[in-house]
Amino acid sequence: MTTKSWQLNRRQVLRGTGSIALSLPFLEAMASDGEAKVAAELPKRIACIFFPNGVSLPPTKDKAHKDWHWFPFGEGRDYSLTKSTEALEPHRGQITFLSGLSHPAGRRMAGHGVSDVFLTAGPVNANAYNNTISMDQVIAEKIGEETRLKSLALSCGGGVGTLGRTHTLSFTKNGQPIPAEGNIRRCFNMMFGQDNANLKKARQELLLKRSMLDRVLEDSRSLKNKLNARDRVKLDEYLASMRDYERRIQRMESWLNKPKAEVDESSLSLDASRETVEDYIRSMYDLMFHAFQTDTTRVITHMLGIEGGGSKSDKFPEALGLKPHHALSHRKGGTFEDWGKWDQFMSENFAYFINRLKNAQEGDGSVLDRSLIMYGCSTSTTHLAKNYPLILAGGSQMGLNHGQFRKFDENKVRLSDMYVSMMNAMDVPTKKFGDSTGELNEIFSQA
Amino acid sequence: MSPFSKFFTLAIFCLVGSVCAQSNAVEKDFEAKIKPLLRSHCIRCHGEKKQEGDLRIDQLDPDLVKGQSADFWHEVLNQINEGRMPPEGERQLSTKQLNTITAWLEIELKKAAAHRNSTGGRQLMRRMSRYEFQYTLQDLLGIALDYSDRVPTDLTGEDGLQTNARRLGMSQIQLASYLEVVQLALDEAIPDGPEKVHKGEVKSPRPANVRKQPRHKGFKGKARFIAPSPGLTKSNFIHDLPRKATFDERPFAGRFRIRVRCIATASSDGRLPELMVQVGHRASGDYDPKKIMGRKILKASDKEQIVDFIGNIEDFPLGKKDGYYNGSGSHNVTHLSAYIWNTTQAKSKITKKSQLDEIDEPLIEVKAVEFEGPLLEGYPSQIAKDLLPEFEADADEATMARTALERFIPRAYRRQVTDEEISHAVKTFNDFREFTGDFKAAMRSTMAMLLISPKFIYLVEPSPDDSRARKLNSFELATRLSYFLWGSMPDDELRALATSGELLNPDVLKAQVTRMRNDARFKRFVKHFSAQWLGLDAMDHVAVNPKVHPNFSDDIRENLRAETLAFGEHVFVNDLSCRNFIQSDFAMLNQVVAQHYGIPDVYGHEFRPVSLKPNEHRGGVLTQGSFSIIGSDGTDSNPIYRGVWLRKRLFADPPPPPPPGAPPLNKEDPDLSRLSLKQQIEAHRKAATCARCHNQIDPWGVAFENYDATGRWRTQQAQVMFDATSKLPDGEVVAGMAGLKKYLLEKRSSTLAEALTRRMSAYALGRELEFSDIEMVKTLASRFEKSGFKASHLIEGIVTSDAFLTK
Repeated sequence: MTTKSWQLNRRQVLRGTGSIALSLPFLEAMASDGEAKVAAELPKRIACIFFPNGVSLPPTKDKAHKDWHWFPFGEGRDYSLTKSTEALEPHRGQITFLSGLSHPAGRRMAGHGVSDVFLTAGPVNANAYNNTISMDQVIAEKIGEETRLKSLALSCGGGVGTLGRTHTLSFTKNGQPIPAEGNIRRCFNMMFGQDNANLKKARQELLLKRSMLDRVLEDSRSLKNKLNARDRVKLDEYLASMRDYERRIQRMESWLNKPKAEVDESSLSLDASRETVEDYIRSMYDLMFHAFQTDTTRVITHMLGIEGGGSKSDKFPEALGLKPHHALSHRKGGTFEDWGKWDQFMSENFAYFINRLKNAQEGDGSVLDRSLIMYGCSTSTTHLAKNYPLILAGGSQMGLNHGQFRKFDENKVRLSDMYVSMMNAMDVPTKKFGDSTGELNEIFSQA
Repeated sequence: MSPFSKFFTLAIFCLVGSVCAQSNAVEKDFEAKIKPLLRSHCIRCHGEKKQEGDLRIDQLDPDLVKGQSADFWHEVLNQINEGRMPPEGERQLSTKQLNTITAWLEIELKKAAAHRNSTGGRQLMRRMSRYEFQYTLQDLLGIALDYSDRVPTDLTGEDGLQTNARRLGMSQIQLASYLEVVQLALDEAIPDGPEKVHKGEVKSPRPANVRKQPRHKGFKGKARFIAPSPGLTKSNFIHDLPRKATFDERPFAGRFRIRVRCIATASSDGRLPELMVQVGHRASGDYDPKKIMGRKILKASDKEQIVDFIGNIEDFPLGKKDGYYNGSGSHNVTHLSAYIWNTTQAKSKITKKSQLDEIDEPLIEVKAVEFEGPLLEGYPSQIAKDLLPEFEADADEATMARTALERFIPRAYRRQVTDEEISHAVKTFNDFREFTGDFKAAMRSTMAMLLISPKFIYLVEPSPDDSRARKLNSFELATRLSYFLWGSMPDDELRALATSGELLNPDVLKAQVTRMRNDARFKRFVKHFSAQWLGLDAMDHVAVNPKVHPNFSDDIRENLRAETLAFGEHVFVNDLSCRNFIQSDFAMLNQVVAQHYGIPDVYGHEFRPVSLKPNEHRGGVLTQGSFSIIGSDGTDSNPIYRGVWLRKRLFADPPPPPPPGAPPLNKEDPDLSRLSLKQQIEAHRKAATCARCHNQIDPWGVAFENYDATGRWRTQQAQVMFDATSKLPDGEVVAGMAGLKKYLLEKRSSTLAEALTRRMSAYALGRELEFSDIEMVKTLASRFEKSGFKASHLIEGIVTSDAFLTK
């Protein structure tokens, strides 16, 4: 790689200006491969954000109906927001409200298992738990090699949780939950921590690891002939994991040669804990913003809370003097208005995230223009896994036509149909995902 | 809200004996009882002429097991249960008809589920669970540190068990964590050389100004003592500040010890102080990372006492060797600080203005804090030292490697190995030796390679032809046995008996079971099986409401959890009757738990059996705080949760999950809000669709009503009288917990025996139990019951059963 004198690398820029600028916009003035990129080569990104327990949808006769009904009133371009989502009013041109979408298989699910299938549309039902790959991972498989992190799974719960109430939205192609990160500092270090001191040693270690994997594969192939069909399925799962891991190591090797993006940590509340709710939620959004802006990853899932009662996130509404979220969703000791106030708080924080993406210049537009954001939940209201409350935001340079409240007939259109369109918008050519029966082209036009 | 939602995991139902009718009988049943009901109530809208909701019921396959319609039938069940079908204005089902059709659907759905999850009654190649992986590394490598936090958690099924091969999956993240852990473990077992040992001492450490308060002038007189801290960030009281000792010289890896020399005084009512140590470093500005190293309750004494905490440097937020902390950028910090707190729960109201002399609380005076690390005593262990045997100085490296690997691989793979396997490893060693330029590093890498092999990670029982079951060979049997009873690999004795083949002799096998039960490693089985069987992890999902239970703390929660585990250990290790799980004349208590229960005169942190008086209302697991918490919403008890828990755990008979749209108890309903919870639940059962299931659930839970959400006994609270009298599903009326326990032991003895048998068998076999296992379960359960509920009989029965002895 040759560097032309007019091209500066990030470190030179940083030293030159004396103080560390807030995360440098992606390739604003320079390109990591030595060639300035044209707009068409700017990255496309996707973030899927989930909140638990549905939203306040007071019936018409309830006094809170007018103000605290999450879904807007009206349809098409002519719709009005309630207090629940009014924070999104300034972003009207960048968002679409959706109703009537859901996963038909999930409609039969009870309780709080619905978050497991939010992004998978998996055939998880009362009879069997056979989850499948999540949409984000299909995309990451395809475009993940381009970035330091193939994808990023965030969750306020962290880890994988339990079957039927996992703490993550992301699932491997075998339907295994992918552990999510809930600790802001650890996540920051993973993406931006500057610890490349022993680069040579790190390279050697990776080489050694890769060599170990080769040896294991060599030695375990012969095992296959000794197993019956059922056991062979298990061995195949192992061998597939091994190959995935090998690819990950190769990718890490190539990333070792490139410096991490620099983000000034003092601009972030890295020690925000789940006890300081707003700080924590916004810090998580900040991390997502920096991850996108620095092109550290292009695929993020984020679980803002865990379904049901008893989790730490369930207590978040107490920060506003409200009952726990799950209790609110059953209106135990709280009204629709109380529940709506929590929805409002969440909308405000979501608006904060949109705003950050919108204000970050990239190419001839903003980071938001090339970020496809889905925000929603897989129950509309108490345990009713239909008519998911959903918002699509951003991605206007990716073919999204915004500004409307779209209503769909749940007997005709499935959420998976929209996922197919989203994947295509991410340049991941897809005909079918999960139980999809088509595409949802009315929101997307080819850019 | 849906009452069971917290229990409901979309899991695999267990097969129940009674549902396994022959399929032609099922067909007859359907034609005779179900079809006429469908025809009269459903087909008009969901049939040939009309297909409301795109559903044709007349075309659904009545064979749920083999047919493709089970999911649609499930939707039918949900619609009926939610009262949406038949819709208003249509002919309704009578209560009896409703029960007929829903009962049929539930039974057939369970069968379909069991069929889908079937492994043909045979074991699958099973990955070690997270804890088995850790224990195996301990026994194989002789390591002492716990690495299991670095491995993802395993999925738990509805039966609570974590040894089920179907659920123990694999992913690249799982694999990456295994490689990381085996490398750390091998670094620990085969260190490069003796490290320099660092020692340090700080006498009378000064208070650390952790809350940015004005500095206190002097800590003389009684002010030398640390008072209980109500919280690590909240208080402004100056005397509860921790004492801080900083050590500039320290190692950057390995085990270390913080020794606190202190004097502890009790409060006048005998409460003892709890000392907590945090370890971390001061980085910059507000960033002050610390992590708890441990807590201990101290004995009161005028004499100086020594309290030791042992930890692992890598587990604490400390600077790195090259002067960089991996989390905070460019601060050159290499020191280690220990913060000593008094974290006793205070009784007095402590405010900013309180005086130390005026509060009557347990106190701690820290005389000195010492650091030592790395700890070399007994370390590496003999097992670890034996990994690389001692050789003559001029020994050839290749020979040394071969000798070590010839010993290591059979232990790691738990069987005899082939020459090819040895030479593959030796060849790998030679390549790694060249690459790393170091003998030990090459040995570690070779061993790491072997330990991420499927031959190590999975319990492999090669069987190319699965048309017929085959007997296990002696090594496979040794392995199954040791993973069942020790959660780990076979030891030398088992391996010797496997090599000689003697283990296949039933008498030898039984003798080994007895030996293994008396070995300290049996406690691992006891801990994990008890927790899984009783669903103890669900405690983590309940946040106790501090406004309603101000005296409750995370510390009490952890001690209640420990109580349940100590109880299981006491019963299983001493081979007491498992009827003790229902009712015992002792409780396993320590100071924290005894105080919580209001039982006097128990001091100290250790759990020990304490004889109970009837008016203390304790004994067995049903009265343990862990399960009161699990059966609550964190604010109040919930009889429905408790009923579900009892049926799921003690009867191994989980009620069906609620339909998706099950309405919550409407507490705002003015008619309901005046009623007690028990009455509310009764009112709720008046609706036929609710009653069908809840009649079989709620009465069990009502009998727990004298225990609040944290397990404390209550009879009255404000205006509410707690009435735990309950009419059980079979019509028997029991007076509260004592009555329930008596009833369970007298009338439900065989249900209890069968349930525990099923859970333990499934745990040992690593799979779901199926139709073909019913006979085994019945035989084992009746033997177990006749033995007086001795776990030793049950374990021996399982181990000598055909299911356990064959692949």
